Amino acid sequence: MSSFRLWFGVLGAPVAWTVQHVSGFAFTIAGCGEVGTVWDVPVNLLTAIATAAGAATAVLAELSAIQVFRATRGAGEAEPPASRIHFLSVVGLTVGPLFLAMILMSGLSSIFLTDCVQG
Amino acid sequence: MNGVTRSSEATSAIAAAYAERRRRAMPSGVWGVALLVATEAALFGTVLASYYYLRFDAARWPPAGIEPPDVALPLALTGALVLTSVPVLLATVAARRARVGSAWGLLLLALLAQAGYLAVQILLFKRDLGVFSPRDTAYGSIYFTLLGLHHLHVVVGLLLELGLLVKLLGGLTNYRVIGVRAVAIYWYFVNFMAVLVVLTQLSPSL
Amino acid sequence: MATVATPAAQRHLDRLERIWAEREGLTGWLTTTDHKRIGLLYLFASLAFFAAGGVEALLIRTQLLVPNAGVLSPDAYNEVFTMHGVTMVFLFVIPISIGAFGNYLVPLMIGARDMAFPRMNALSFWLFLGSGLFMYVGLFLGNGPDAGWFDYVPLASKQFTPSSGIDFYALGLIFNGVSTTAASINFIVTIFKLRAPGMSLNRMPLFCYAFLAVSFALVFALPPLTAALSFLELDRRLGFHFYDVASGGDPLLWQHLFWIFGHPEVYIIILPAFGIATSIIPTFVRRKMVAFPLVALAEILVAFIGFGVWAHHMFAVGLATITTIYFAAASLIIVIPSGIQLFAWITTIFTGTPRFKTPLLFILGFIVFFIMGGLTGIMFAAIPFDQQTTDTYFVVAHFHFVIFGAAVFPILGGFYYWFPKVTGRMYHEGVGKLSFWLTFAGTAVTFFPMHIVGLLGMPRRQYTYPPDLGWSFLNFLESIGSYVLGAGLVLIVANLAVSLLRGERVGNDPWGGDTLEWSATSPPPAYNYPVIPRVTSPYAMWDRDDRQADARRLERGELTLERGHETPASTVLDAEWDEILEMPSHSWMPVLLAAALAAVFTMLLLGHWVTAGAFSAVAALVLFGWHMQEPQEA
Repeated sequence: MSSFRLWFGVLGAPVAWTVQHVSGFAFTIAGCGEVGTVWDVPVNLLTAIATAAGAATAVLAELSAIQVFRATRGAGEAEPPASRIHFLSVVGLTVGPLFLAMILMSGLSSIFLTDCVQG
Repeated sequence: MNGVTRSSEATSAIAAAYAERRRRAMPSGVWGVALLVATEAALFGTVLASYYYLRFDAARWPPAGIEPPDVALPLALTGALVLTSVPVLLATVAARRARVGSAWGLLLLALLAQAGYLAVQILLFKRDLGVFSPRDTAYGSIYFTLLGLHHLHVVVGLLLELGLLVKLLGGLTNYRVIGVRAVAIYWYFVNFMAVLVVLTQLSPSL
Repeated sequence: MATVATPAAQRHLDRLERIWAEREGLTGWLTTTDHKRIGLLYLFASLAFFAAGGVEALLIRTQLLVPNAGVLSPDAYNEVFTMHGVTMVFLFVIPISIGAFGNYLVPLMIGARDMAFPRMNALSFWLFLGSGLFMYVGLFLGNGPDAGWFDYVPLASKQFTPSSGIDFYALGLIFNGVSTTAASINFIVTIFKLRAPGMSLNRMPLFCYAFLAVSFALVFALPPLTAALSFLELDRRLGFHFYDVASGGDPLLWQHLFWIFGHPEVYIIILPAFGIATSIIPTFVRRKMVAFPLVALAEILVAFIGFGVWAHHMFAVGLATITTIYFAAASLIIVIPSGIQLFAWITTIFTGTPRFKTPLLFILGFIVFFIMGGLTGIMFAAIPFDQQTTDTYFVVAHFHFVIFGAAVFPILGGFYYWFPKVTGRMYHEGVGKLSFWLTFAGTAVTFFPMHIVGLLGMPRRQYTYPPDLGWSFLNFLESIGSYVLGAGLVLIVANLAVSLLRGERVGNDPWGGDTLEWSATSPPPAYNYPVIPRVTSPYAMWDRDDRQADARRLERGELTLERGHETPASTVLDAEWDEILEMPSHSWMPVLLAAALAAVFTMLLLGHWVTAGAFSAVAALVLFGWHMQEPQEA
């Protein structure tokens, strides 16, 4: 079982969320700051791109984790590395939906809210 | 148990090289410096993010009365610093292969080049201070703090190399080989940050 | 484990005793690098700071007992609540969790003989002690920090707080941060590299997962604080302009930087408590933890997602909603890992056979308070609700439920749980139960009414309140509660102190514990384990075959690693044995380096920049001297 699939399954969704989260809120700070009056920062477009890319990565990571989980089914009590791989695949397939939820919640809300206003 | 080295018994260059080859995983010392790099990277990341945060708050950056920085010399200096990663890397290869003399010479070469870099950077720093002050604007504050932080890391790196050079006069042991690897990792980090710092410093002109 | 060693075994034990013998007297304690001794040093130092923070709390509550009580002047009140927060967060709960519990127990739980960097471990302690004394010197000189534990600008700027209390705060916390960073690096490398052979990641105790999460969080959370404090000092002492608007700075920069540190900090505070709870529950309900991989994951996830929620402390400062929404989303989702853990703990308790001894009672109290504190936390994730209740006593209620109710209760339970292991004696169970009920009742009565008085509009950080707003009775009740709470805590200390002298003696494993430390003697010898244990599950003590195999190996002198201060190093993921490491032992360098750094920070405080530079050079020389002695030469 490829090491890449395992680690992508475990780390893909958290990294996707980190990038979408930091870049997403940075776009809003830029767009709503003084510099937004000088440069025309297309906040909604950038947010949409970041959210779509992040969500896609998280979904792919989840699928990867599920694949490793199925391949190592029954290895829970085996000797390492099989049991350790299975353990990490459980970790991976659990985190995927959580990070996907955050990516979608924040990205979609940011796009549909009114720009630069405190609600 | 079979085949496991007592690595601290490796007090000669050959024995240390043997211990290095037998080891399957990164030794503790290398993990330690990797985590030090992680925490310092977070510090630099924070200062860089603060630069951009303050910039996003400003209609004019640099503020009126301050010229955007010159590009050529800082970029050239940074290029030279990045190149010193080569003798540093070669020094670790030599140390891991028990070639103390080569390791020592390569570290000295790197140290001299890096010290030269720092000397010129200090001159540029003082020249900038004569033109605009960190006590006048936020731009000045973050500019000089960012550069100062980087230069401080270079100073620490030079002291680490100096310490290594002194210790290596007594030959190689397992502990010192790991020391060379650790200092090398620190320098790769400093050189990488140098690129990010100079690009940020010069960003108004790029 | 046999209670009387055979002659063959005894030879190995004697040899290990000789090799690992700790030096006696004051010199021994000043130069120790033994993780257990350092753990005890941290324990007593943090308990002293706990007492100081507790006195500060009682002063606050006495001032608020009745309207216009006149116990503290407004300025004194500001210093007291600031020092209460700083002391409890930085000088009590983190050092006791990581420095005391972590240091003492992590090497034991992973089957190692010490931490990965024993001298740096000692350094962490002396730096912590130095930083605590540094900050308290300021208070005793009448110059305590007084702008709250999060010290917002512009109040904390030179213009509005010219006195040096803020400088004690800023430099003291940077100093403290060096200690904690060093400790975190030590924990990560120890957990990665020094686990007993066979202890792959899926066989590591949950306590260690909590500490791994905490340590990674600290490595990434402390630098933003250092940056924030450094910018503050540059503004205050050298006239820089990071935080003032007129010159292009931004006071919100402080808030962002502080909370990028500050929010992970609160998860850092609670994670060790999760680790303690997940150690106590299986032992006292005699059942393995339900959903082990999910609980391990949840501990790491809370720390990780915790880095993405910081601006929920800034919902009321005027940020656009398209910005704050990112943080609202993350703040809602972060409750799920905590929920996973709660369900796992509760299910484990319900499906096990509980013995309601004092440690388990404290964990049950923790669960109650954590649910309440967690629920109010979730309420704050809703931006409109937060904007109404921010800076009221509702916030004070929430964080005391999670910090005191949820982070400290497992610490108190942990004192009782591991007291027999550390001292070889048992505490008095009846007094233990009474101390639990007093502490539980005191906590509830002190902090629950704060929700109500907060919703009635009482702001935090008020030195007094008018008598006609309907807050008087609730404040009175809270203060009475705090005295009851204080009594409960005093009773815990008294119980343990008396039991230390007169408690019934116990053997290795009075509880039937699940993790490796229960296989060692009580207290453990300096070398922890005569034989390096072989591990095949996260509940190493419940694998009787493995532990009997250890005993047989002792007879044969196998895996005893007795040629020096030796401990094994393994690979990170699967703990395959890789090499045998020689550990440093006694050294003067840590305490000397800590003294040099204390001098640096003192000179910075006083504005003697050149002298600070000179002491930095001294520190560099000490560090060089440190590396002059390689472990095998010790």
